[in-house]
Amino acid sequence: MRLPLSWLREWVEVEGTAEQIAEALTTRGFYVEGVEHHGAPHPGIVVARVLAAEKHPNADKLKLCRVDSGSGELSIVCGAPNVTAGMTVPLATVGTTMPNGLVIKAAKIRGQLSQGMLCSTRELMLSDDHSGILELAEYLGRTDLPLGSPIDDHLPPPDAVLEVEVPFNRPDGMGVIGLAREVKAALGGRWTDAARTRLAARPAITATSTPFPLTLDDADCPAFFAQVVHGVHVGESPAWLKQKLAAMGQRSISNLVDLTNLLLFEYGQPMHAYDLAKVAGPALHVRAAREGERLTTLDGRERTLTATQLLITDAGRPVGVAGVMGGADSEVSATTTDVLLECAWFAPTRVRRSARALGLATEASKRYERGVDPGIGAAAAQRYLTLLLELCPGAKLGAGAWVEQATPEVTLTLRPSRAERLVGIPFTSERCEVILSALDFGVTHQGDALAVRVPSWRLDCRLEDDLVEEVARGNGYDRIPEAPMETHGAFAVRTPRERTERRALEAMLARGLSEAWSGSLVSVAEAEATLGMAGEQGGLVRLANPMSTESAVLRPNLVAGLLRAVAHNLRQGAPSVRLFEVGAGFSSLGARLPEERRMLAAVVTGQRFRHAHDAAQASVDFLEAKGLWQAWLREMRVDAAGWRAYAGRGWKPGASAEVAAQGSSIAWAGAVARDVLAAWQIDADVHLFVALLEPLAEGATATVRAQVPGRFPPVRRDLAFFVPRAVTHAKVEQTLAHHGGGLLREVQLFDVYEGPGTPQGTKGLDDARPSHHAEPTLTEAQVTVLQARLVTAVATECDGALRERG
Amino acid sequence: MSDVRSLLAARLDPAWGRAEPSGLLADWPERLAALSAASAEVASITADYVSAIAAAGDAAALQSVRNAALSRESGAFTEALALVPSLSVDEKRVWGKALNLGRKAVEDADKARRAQLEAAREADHALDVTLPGREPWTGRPHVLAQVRDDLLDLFHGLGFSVYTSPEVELDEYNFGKLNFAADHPARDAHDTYFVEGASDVVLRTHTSPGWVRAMEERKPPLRLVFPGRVYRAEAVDASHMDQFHQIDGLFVDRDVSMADLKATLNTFARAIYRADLPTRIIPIYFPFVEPGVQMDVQCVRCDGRGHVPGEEGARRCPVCKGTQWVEVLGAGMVHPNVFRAVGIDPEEYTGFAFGMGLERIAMGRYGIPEIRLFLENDLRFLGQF
Repeated sequence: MRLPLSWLREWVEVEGTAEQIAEALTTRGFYVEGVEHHGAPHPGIVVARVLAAEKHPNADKLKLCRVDSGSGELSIVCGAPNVTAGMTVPLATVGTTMPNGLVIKAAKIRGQLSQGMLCSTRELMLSDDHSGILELAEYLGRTDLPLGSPIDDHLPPPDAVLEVEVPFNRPDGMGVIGLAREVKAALGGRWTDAARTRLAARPAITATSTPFPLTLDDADCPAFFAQVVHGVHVGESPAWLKQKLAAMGQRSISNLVDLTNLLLFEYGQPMHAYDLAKVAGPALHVRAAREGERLTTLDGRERTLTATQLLITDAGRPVGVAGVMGGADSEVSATTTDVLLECAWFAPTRVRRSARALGLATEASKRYERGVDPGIGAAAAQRYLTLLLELCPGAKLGAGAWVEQATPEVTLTLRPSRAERLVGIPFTSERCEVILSALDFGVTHQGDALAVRVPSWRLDCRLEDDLVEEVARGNGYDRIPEAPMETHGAFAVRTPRERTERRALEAMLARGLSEAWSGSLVSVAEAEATLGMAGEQGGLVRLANPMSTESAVLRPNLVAGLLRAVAHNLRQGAPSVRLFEVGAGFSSLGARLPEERRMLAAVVTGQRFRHAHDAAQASVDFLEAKGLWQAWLREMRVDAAGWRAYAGRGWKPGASAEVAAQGSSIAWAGAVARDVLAAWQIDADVHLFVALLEPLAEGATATVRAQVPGRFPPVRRDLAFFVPRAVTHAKVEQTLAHHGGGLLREVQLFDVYEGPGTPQGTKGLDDARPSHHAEPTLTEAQVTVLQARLVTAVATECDGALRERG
Repeated sequence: MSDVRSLLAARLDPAWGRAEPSGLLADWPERLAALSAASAEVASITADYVSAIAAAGDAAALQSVRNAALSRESGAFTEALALVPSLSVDEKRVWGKALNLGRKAVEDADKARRAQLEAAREADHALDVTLPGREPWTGRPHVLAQVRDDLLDLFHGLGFSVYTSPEVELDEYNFGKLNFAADHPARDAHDTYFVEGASDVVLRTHTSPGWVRAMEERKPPLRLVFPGRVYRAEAVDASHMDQFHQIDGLFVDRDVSMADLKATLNTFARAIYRADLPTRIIPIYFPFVEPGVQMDVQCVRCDGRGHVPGEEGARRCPVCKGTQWVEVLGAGMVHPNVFRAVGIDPEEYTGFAFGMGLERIAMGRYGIPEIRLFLENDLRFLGQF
């Protein structure tokens, strides 16, 4: 909402500069986003006429003009495209200091003498428009401007306009009067005499007036004022009216329409003027629209209506969507001689639904849906009629109708003790009264408390705490002290989820992977390509109203986001990408809310080292990547993770694994399948790891029981077996572990060998077995017995033969 | 005596090179003078050995000179000194002194040359320590995680624990129980994503639904923070994302007031911005608080002047748009209707709440010009923080 100070001062007498008023509004909750100063004084700038404007002989984009300055003819070079002979223009004469500090000098521009400057509205600081030279005659609506006279003689006096952000709960701030009331309260001002008169005005409908046929058939329209005025003259608005609307950013249409807009901005009360001749009956009827009813609105569009809309009709057809927009074929035109004024109140919710269904947000609907002051209609209507009769002196009031609503009386109790409890500083009932009275609340004392009558425009005040806010605002938030910070014995704890995720993060950072944060919204194609890669069972969670196809569905897991990141970085020339992310995957399992599973996913592609210029550098392969994931699992305290080959959707068969712990799948690791990578145009091999965090939480956050290391070093034995190719390392390891009993501490693979020397169809697996016993240390005899047992076990269970070492 | 002289000279090898001894023994001229004073002959022969040592090109050559002069069995000085006891008392004194000085000079020269040769050998085999190392990858936490953790650490210290709630929420929790009336224009500020097939399920537009869940689940006193991702159905551009991150805070107890709120907010600003950065709180409307509070900090771009130097004199500050202040968070006292919605008696308990955006803080702190960078995961961007 724009607030010109000149307009504000018509209503209230207050001391203060534009900046002080802006500060006062801001600190009371009406945030002033900017202060525009209009019409800085323009000494040296005079009215001139362009006599001729021709192309500059040496420049395509410049014009060479001859200008009558009132005291002689000047030659002026001008770059504006709109300069034509005959225009009345502002001329900055030689020696003038422009508002931005530029001093005008006579100079040759591309060889042609220029003796001054023609000005745009921006150069005069009248607006931001810099599209061309200001046409003064048009701007001021006058053709009789004396050449050579200072333009300040014709321009309105300097003014400032505040750009105010009006809170949603303060529709009264959508009118000059409402903002004036806040400024008055903030700066200790008073209403002007004119303001008092206008606010108390009532329409002069008397018993002798002919009643206008008006029928209200919907509870959402409890109040309606209709008034016919005969003998009006539709024409241009006077300069004062045009300037007021221009300051609000509203173009002038005609005197009658401009007046409705003036009242909208001033009182916050939307109005509508119909051409009486085009209102059948003449009569007005307010009712719910019927399904499929049609109306062409003022913007020229035909609208199909539903019962959502509240409709205004004449004796036969719709003439307006109540509270939103009038109809095109009953609007006031140049030939209108009799006008019918509408000034009504419509229920906020109804107007909101109606406007949204039509995809419209008009100045009227914005005010109605927030709540127009139900008590302002009478004064606003009377103001309109007064001004109309001033503009059209011969006009006469005709038939009228006035259905008034009983504005609800709201009286609240305010305990100063409640204000003290919430705000943190003591308030006396007198102080509360002073603050509330300044905002035109009615206050009476009731013992320690106050009975507060809420004015009709304060739809936001319905609870005691709403009044506490008024008191806090009025007193000033800057006067609230800082209370000492006390814990009262409270302390914060890190939740298991925080601790698990912190550990997961640190364990990945330590592997040299950086943390990624990807969007949770992905395309349907991305989601479908990766669905199930974290073992999720449910369906996709789709948005009903996506903003783009790229963000149409919630990610089922974190894979798509990381592959997006891989593709982006490879495109940007990164040789390697190592990223992980901790976040939620979303699956629909039929409950009201989808399942949100916390997980970690990680990708690596490219080189083992950030830098190595020797043989140590290589591309990351399966075992390198698996080593990263194993180390991570170890840091998450997953002790007994079982890895088995996996060929699920999205994973490359023969190079992927599923990891289980305590009987359930907790992670997946391996190479991403080609067809999935193709969806992101990735050519490189990408190693992926996905782990569910929930199953790891307990282990990761458990308190460890300390174990004292043995006092003797472990005994190690190297054993090498030939086993059939189909026998996995895991099988051999399990066999050894199972038969090792309490003496076998650890099994460690030290080589895998295939080729010359291995019997057909077998491979050599070399397992070192550091054994360990507490105290006393193992005897040689014990170790020999154990070793024999293990060799037998591998032979019978794994078809493995001990390789005699040469 | 002539035996001594000939013994000394006999081991000299004419094949040895000669080099100036001063390069080995800095005090050679003084030693030579002392030797000459004792015996010109010993001095001359010693000079021959020392010159040969200085010229020895490698360890073997050096060893052969050393052996000739000092070896236990047949070294010239060893043998010459063995003869000294058989000399007369006067000769003993003269020759003994000269020979000992000579042997010492040869020993020191040998030691010095040995060190020179060793140093030269090491220099030949030196590594180029300027070669880059075999450098492993390093990982960095995401910049927003760093900002979030700074905030969580701060609030943890103030006694606030983390509470997490779903990102996909019921309309009732995102709006209804937070005192957004149905069809209220305040909902317009929350462009909402809806889940297909369920008109009452939304992607949460703020982290505040967490308060409702926490208050339904637990009894006051409550001191909680709610970090998380939120969603708005907005077109994405340099300053708007349809997904971003907030941290809400909630403190409910008997007699919590705006003075407590102000202390908490100012502590936040001092810790996260700057200890002496001016702040202000002003009224604002949110449906779920009453009274509502916005906290601004003084614009750090223009130091609260509202304008910055430009090419043609001062121009309006692009960050605060001339207002001198920058909004950092919304807050307020928990609305009694919210308390009632979760079954807490607003006469018994009061509370404050606040909410802030991580991206805004990160953008200000690090000078990040584009909000889209946060979720793009460009390694060049992530690696900086």
